[in-house]
Amino acid sequence: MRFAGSSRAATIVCLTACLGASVWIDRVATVSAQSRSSETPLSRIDRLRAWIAAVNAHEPGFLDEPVEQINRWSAADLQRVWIDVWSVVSLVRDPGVRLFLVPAGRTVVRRPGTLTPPSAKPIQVTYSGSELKALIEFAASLGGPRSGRETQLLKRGAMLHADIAMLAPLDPRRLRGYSSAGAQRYRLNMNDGRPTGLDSEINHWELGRRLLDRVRVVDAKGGVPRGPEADETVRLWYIATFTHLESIGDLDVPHFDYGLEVFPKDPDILLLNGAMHESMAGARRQRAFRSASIPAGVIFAIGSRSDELAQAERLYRRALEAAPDLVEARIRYGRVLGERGRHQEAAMELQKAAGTRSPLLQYYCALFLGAELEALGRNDEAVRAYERAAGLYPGAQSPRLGINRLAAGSQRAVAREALLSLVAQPVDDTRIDPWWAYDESIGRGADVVLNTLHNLVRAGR
Amino acid sequence: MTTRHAVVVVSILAGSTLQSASSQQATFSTKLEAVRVDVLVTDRGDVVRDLKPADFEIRDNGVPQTVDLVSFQQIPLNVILALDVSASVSGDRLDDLQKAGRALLGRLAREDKAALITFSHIVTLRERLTSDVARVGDSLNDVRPEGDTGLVDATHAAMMLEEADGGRNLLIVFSDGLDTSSWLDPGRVLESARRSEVVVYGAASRGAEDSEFLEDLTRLTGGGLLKIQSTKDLSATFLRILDEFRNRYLVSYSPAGVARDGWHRLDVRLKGRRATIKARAGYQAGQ
Repeated sequence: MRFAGSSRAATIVCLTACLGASVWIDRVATVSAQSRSSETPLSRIDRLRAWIAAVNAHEPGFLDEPVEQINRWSAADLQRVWIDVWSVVSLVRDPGVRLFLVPAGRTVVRRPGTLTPPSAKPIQVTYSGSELKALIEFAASLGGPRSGRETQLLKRGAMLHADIAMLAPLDPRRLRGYSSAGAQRYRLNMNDGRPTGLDSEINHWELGRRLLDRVRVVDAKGGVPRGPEADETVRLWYIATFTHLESIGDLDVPHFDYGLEVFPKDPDILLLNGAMHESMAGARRQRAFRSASIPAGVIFAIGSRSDELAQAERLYRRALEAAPDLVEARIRYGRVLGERGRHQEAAMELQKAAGTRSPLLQYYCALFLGAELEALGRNDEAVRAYERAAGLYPGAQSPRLGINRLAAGSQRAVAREALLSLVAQPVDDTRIDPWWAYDESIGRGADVVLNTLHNLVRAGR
Repeated sequence: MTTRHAVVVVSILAGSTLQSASSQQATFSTKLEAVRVDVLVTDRGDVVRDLKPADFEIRDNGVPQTVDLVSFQQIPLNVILALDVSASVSGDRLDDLQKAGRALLGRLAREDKAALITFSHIVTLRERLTSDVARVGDSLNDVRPEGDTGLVDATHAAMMLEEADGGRNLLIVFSDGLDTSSWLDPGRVLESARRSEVVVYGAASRGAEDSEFLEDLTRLTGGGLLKIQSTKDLSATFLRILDEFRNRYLVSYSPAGVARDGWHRLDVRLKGRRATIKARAGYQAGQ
């Protein structure tokens, strides 16, 4: 878990441009000439071959040569590769196909959590005779439609692009002179509630998602193949990338929304999406967003505090409907209810979650319960809840502040001294207060989930 | 009755009334209990001096009170500094802040005390109230800016430093950012401020000048929020606050004819004369 102590990282909000969905494809023809003449002197087929080689050579979870190699490619090169991978997969699944229709992507509109539907008009891609011959050879090398090897390639490709997004350094040169929705993401960096800069980078998350969209789960009994929503590796890819992004405070709203569209009933996906919206409602992001200078054409997928809390509440409720024992969702649901002024309901939810065995979750539960009981005027119970939190993390200042504020009569002097003695302590690990890292705490399992994902991908599953 | 005996801090008063109150209808009846109020009187920006008890008119929840005592520049100060050292206060801004702190400490009289709290998301008590102001200055040199801003949490902790030693408690809060990490609800801390007799002044720059919390807190406690364009102005701002606070009257009265508990709205005026009065909005008695 990343605690916000002396090494507290700057918080990030990541948002993407909202342009027309079809632009992602339309621009390819325009920019491919630029990319051929300048950055990557590879033919279309050589580029595809190089990408497949990099995907196969990449060791999941490592910043290796394939990651560095593909990270040097331009957005136009990557889009062209994606189109050609799409065509190869089409040829694997239907070797006789000669009409290649690539669907336009989806993108996020201003209202958080709403994706535009796939375009009704796919884009037709044409190849020269030699290019088509090479694509057919690639498809043949991947085996027949029931081999599942094209799906493995897609998953490995998504892993490579996720690793580029997570591990490779930002290289803004790749975007020079190029801008389109989907291919590019904007990241608003902030520190202490103030915007500190806007980065733009190639959207490797989008590339990974598009690859996974073509995953197909073949029924061993010969039934109708199912899509990515039936694949455990795809599910884990979204969960792992969500937890990673939340652990570093990089809230890529379109990425979260997209995963939720694929897995709308998955309790973990719902929980992680709810946490993303809860974080978006926080003061750090709301204030930085309000004071940021945003280039024309870039639309931030962040709603008002009230909208974000409402969205978080809905997602947590759905998570609990799907998995009533998901304690973390219940604690967060309780907190959000309290933030929305529904203190009685909040206290009830938090009391239901009090039996959790995780000290961290116990702490959050007790701390939030203290606040809700105080709001209900049940001050003695509130003090007891705060005392439970203080017992779990004796150096944490938040429960001490809560106790101090509520202390009455003869207890006031005792509480005052306890608070002042605590804050007089040197600032070191003994003063950790998990409240400071509440937003990021939802991503505390990122390393474990990523490791599981890496193992699945390595095993070809 | 000496001055010190006459000065009973409101928070102590609140505790004693709780124990002695026998019913909801209880009212103040003894002259031993007193309320004191810091009052700034100005006329077109100039401090009005040489006022006597008879010059003041105080209404406690609308009930006229008899002013017992007025002191001017006679009572030692307890100056509590609560300074934002979050990540946004780095480089020149930190230098300016340290200089301002030292300038203020250098102006304190021998009988005055000072305390220092710094805050990012972490509240750190560096010095409790002490007459050794040089030590407070040394502590100020040790700060390193980092982290988010927990303005509300720090302000609450700083208010806990006030002492009922007869000194006049002044809390100066500096922040250059909006609150991004406090646990405490601002409204609840304002409730706590009603029980405190500390006068809070805010020195705010950049985004903090829009801080509703600081606005409300300083108005409630009878202080003021000074907005600065640059931390270069901070030394002058701190000294202005100190001068203004020194030029305040400490007006004391024994409440009569009003309920013991609850919120007491204060209305302070001068008799037969127009002036600008700055005083706390009221005080909370009882629990």
